Amino acid sequence: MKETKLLTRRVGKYEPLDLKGYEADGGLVALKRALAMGPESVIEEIKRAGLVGRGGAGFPTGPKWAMAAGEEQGPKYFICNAEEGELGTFKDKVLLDGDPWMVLEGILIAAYAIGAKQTYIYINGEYEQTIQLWEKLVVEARKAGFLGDGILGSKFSVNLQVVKGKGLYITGEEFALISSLETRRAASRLKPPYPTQKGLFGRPTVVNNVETIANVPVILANGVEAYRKLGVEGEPGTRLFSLSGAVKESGVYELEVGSGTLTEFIDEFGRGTSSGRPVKAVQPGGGTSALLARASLGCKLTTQAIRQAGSEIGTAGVIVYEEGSSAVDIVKGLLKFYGSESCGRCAPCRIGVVRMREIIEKVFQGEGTTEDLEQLRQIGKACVAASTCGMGQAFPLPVLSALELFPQDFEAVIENR
Amino acid sequence: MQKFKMETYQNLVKDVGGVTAENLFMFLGKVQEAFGYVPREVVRDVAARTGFSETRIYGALTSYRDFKVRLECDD
Amino acid sequence: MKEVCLTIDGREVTVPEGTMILEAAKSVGIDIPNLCYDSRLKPAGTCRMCVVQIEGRPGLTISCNTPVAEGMEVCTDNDEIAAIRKTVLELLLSEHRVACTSCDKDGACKLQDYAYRYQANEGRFGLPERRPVKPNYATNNKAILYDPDRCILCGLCINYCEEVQKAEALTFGGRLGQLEVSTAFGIDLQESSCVLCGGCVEICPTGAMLDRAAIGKGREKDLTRTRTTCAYCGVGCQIDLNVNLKTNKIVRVTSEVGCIPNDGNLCVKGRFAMDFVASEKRLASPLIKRNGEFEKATWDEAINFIAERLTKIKTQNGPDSIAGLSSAKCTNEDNYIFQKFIRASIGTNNVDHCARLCHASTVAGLVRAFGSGAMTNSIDELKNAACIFVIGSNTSEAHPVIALNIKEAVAKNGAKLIVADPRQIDLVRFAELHLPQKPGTDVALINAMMNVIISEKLLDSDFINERTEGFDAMAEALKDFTPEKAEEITTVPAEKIRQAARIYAGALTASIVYSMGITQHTTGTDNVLSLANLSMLTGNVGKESTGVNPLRGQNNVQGACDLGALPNVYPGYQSVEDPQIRAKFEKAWAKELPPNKGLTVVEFFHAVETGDIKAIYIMGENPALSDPNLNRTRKALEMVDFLVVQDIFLSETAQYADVVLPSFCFAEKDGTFTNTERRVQRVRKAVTPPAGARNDWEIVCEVATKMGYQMQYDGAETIMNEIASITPIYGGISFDRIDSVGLQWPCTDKDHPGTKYLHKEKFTRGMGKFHPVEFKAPAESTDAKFPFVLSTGRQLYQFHTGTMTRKSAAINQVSPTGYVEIHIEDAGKLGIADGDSVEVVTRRGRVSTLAKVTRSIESGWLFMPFHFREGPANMLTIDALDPLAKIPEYKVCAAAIKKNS
Ligand SMILES: Cc1cc2nc3c(=O)[nH]c(=O)nc-3n(C[C@H](O)[C@H](O)[C@H](O)COP(=O)(O)O)c2cc1C
Ligand code: SF4
Ligand code: SF4
Ligand code: SF4
Ligand code: FES
Repeated sequence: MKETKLLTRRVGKYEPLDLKGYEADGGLVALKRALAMGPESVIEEIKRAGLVGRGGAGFPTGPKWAMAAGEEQGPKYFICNAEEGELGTFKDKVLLDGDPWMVLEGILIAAYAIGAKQTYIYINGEYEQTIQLWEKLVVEARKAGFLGDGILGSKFSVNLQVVKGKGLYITGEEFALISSLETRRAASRLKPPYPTQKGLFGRPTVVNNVETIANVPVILANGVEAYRKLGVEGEPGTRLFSLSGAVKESGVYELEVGSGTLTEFIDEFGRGTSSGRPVKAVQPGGGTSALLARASLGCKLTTQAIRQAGSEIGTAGVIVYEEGSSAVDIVKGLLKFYGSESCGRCAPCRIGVVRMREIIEKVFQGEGTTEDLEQLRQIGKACVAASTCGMGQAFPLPVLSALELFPQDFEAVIENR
Repeated sequence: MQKFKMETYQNLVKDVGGVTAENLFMFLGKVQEAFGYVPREVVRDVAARTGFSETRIYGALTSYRDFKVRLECDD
Repeated sequence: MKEVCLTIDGREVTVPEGTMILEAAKSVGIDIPNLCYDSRLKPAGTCRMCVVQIEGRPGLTISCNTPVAEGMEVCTDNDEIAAIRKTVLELLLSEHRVACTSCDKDGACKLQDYAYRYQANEGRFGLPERRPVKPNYATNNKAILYDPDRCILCGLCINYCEEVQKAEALTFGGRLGQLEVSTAFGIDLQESSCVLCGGCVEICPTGAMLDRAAIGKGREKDLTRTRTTCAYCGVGCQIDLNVNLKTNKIVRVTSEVGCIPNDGNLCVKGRFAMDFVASEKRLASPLIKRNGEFEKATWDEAINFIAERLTKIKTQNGPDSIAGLSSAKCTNEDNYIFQKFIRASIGTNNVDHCARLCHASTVAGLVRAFGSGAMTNSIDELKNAACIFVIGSNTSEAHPVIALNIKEAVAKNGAKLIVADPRQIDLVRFAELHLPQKPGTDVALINAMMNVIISEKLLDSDFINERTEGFDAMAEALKDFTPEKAEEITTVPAEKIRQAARIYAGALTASIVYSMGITQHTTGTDNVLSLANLSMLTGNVGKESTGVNPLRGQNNVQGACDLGALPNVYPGYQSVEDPQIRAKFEKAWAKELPPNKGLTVVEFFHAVETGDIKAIYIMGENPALSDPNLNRTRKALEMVDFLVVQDIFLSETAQYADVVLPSFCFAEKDGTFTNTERRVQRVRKAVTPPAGARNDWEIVCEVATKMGYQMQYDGAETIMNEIASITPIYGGISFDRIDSVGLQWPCTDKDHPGTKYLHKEKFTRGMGKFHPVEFKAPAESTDAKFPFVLSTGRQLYQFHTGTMTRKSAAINQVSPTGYVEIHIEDAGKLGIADGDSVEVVTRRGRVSTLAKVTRSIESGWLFMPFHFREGPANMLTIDALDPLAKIPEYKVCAAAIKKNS
């Protein structure tokens, strides 16, 4: 198993602010091509490339752009989502720091395709240096004529505002992100209407993940055919996997979709578990993805295969737990984080996440009963079934899977009483 | 962190080239960084500049961990 | 609109495209549980109780925000759904301090209902910890209580405030764990942008928000709801008086979503100002003044005394020496009886009421132009108008619920709003254009708009040719009235006048809304005629969502006019001078009637001075505070030989009376009021009246009978039947027809559906008539001694002379006393600070009041509300009259102001 450096090809190869370096290494070809093609053709190419979102929800990118482009009422907005708040996920930072011009190029192409003049990049507040870099990048880009009026001598004008995130996981969710840019509460909203219909300031808006956007210049520069040669049927290209947890080597690795199994990935790139004990469980798609037990780790690294195994590829943040750790600890750790991250908008998530956190703490203290486990299941199911956004719908998934896969861990702390 | 002064604040407004609905959130971030909180005077002022109500801005600010609407005494 | 067919729980349902599943289910009587749905609001989607299963979709979907689709199969309840709902409820209850035993909401609480329905276990996920009680935004408010321990954070109160009331006083504050409803920075509600409409309290599904004054006074099961019409203002909101029969007290006021015309919305007065009904100051016995002191008297004594004195004055000085002031606060039935008494029993047409002081010029103007002196269209139609031109109406304060319709038109349907008002009124926030014209220059403004419309050929020639007459003469008169000329007179920039003209004329449907800012001028009739011209010029009358729409002030001012409490017409605007009509009434009333029209109200007070009027009978009015140039009015009240006042309180006017008769208030009466959109609506008795008081119409009947003219009715319904029999426009009105929804006149017979908008196809007078209108300056202009223009008017929290509203603690908290508004620069020059005591002086009087320094008024102008007896603005106003309508010029006089030392 080896990396396929498609998006990360240039990472570390040029000084991040050095536009010339970027250009010398094949940069800006895509933008020039896009401006020559016209917006409709750009969207068509992205559709044909079969690009799907890398932010967690896996929504096809071309159709999303087409929806916003098809709305009559402007102005339109494009937002690059660089909040990267999901547990076990730190891949976007690699691109933001290592090849910012490519991300910027993607943003410009996206804005051009949907007809947006104002764009935003919303960067996780903890990435302080990244934010500084991007603020400088905007200045450079403006100087070089990539932001402002008449980009590259065309009629296309666009601006980019760098926004520092405010330390809330929920602002990674697209509507909560939009709300914060509107100076509203950091909270999700009902759909419909979708952001592509009524997004920022009530106008058509596309929100894309950094990695998604980084694919765009690659597709346009190399052509759809070349792009589709990578990956598997229905899921072309590569993915950036973040690997963390109980592994010897954590890091971000760009792999061709379907190039290996989870076990291979953990063994070859993570060099096995920290202690050398076997893997107990893995969250393959970030902190809100369901746990997979060891027996399921033979699945390929594709959306379909992981789903069949019982989880989701999500943000491709692979979190490894090794034998010896208790599912109770795992769940407690997750709920400790998510337990204060609900936006509070909808009843089941707002109250459920807090109750579940309290219950698991009680169980962890050895004061739990089987009734408590039943309550965890009951609340978890209600949240999944009745919450508004991905937060409430997903945070219980690892809990429910833990209860199902490792009942003995829970019984152990209860019986110990 | 500096003590809140209307003058310093006005300079911040100048630095961003005027406060509008589109940059308000980013701008309030700068106010927070400069003074450690977003004073009521500021909310009143930016409300007038953007047409957003003070209620909305206050409600928004209190939903973020990193925004404060009162100076916290360190006791 | 396209119809969509789907099945819900196996039943076929057809609804318009875009309908949400929850609403579609409701339309066939399937009630999907919900804690955050309200038809007036965008779906909040916070409670998640309304989840349903849709065939072919994974998991559950909320039904309040999922539009129907063709062929969709929906299941609204099964074991899986019930289990989820139950869990959600149990989660809510784990945060809700259950205290049904002492909660006002017991029995009317949705949380309680559903908890019962799903047998939710309140302790399943633990009981909430008792949080330390700390002050919140409503702690110091006298109207509203907020208890975060009972709040389920559904957001309805916040959304209502933002979407319907558009006050944006409330928001969620804080983060998970400390989330609660708050104002900005937690300031007291009364310091916020709240207008105290109480909508948040009523919409709250739990007991988290309560009407503070009602706490402990009755739960759902202790209360009886009586649907009636609000007694404040001409909107005519339908309200439910929630009465505790054990205490005979109105505990709270609610209103049903969906009711016409207010859709469950109310303003502060309807909601929180019912205290007056049970006030200890209510009159409970007739009073006769002897040697300058009031003494209690029996009803027999009082009636005998009045009959004797009036008979004597009538024989000695003739019937025309007596005048009657009827009341826009009383019912249609009261007004009908009162004018019948004055005309048939006394034998004079000297009957009038306060419409003279607010909308006489509307009647005079619109009758001349269209043939009918009332609001042409309906309140509800405003929502769909493409353009709304508001002039001389501070709608948000004077007709708050109509203002909601205007705001909705702008916010939801993209209507273009033009506001012409000297002040920066609330509606300006929603306006495309604000034209701050100098007070008293409306004709110039409107003429210039028409000049633009004609010169830019934006007029509707077909309409003008087919439906109107007199166009050429009017167009000729406008020829030189350019926007530049108007700019000199009005101070409104010419370009803005052009824009206004283009917006108004360019809209598919354009409604004009006006009120006393137009009518209360010496040129009131001219102003109204100008607006009528404008509407006809562009074909914006006689169609839905267009028209010329005067907003009537008092609750039943429309009805009092309709029922003939006017010196020139019988009920239904039938002229007293027309012999045929007179003959009809003589036959119906079995009495010969006087052939000449009578005096108007300001005229009768002037006639007291000349000795022509010797006696005045006043039913439910307070001219000693409401009429212009009060010193003169009060002198007349003092001078007149015999004064009878029938009222619920010993008002300023009653103090001058020789006999005072205590009457019932609206909550104790049966009858009808007619609202500003001509809708005749029921008034119903909800509480038992004070022991010594009597019904207004019964008192008048007794006096008439005692004076030898038999008047006897067994109830309001019989009176309405008599009205219907001789008043063509009310011909089809009867109590059973208006039992649930009122009817709009003209409604000529039992099968007539009522009239939504007037002048469809044909004007009441046949052809619409254009009138050339010249600009005339106001009666009094400013000079060195009186350099300010003073306008008077109304304020949201008060009604008329404050006799009713000022009995409410909630209102007194926010509107304790009178004030004068002055521009911040003028105040600066005169050394006046906000809240300073100042003296305002005019040629007629001087008044001390408090200064309210503001930017919402232009420099050089002053504004005073007229409700306050301690700073009676009408000491200052001028009694110069419009020559046709005889309405006084309340809106413009010259004044000076100085700081009191
Ligand atoms: C609770 C929550 C947090 C999220 N956080 C992120 C995030 O940090 N970054 C991101 O790109 N998408 C995040 N998403 C997904 C976004 O809502 C959205 O789907 C995504 O940005 C769309 O981009 P894509 O189509 O390029 O994937 C989050 C979603 C939820 C429900
Ligand atoms: S699911 Fe949770 S995070 Fe999402 S809207 Fe509901 S309360 Fe907010
Ligand atoms: S009373 Fe009306 S204006 Fe005041 S907070 Fe409630 S809804 Fe808003
Ligand atoms: S106060 Fe009532 S209406 Fe407002 S959020 Fe709480 S429960 Fe809902
Ligand atoms: S009624 Fe649908 S979520 Fe509350």
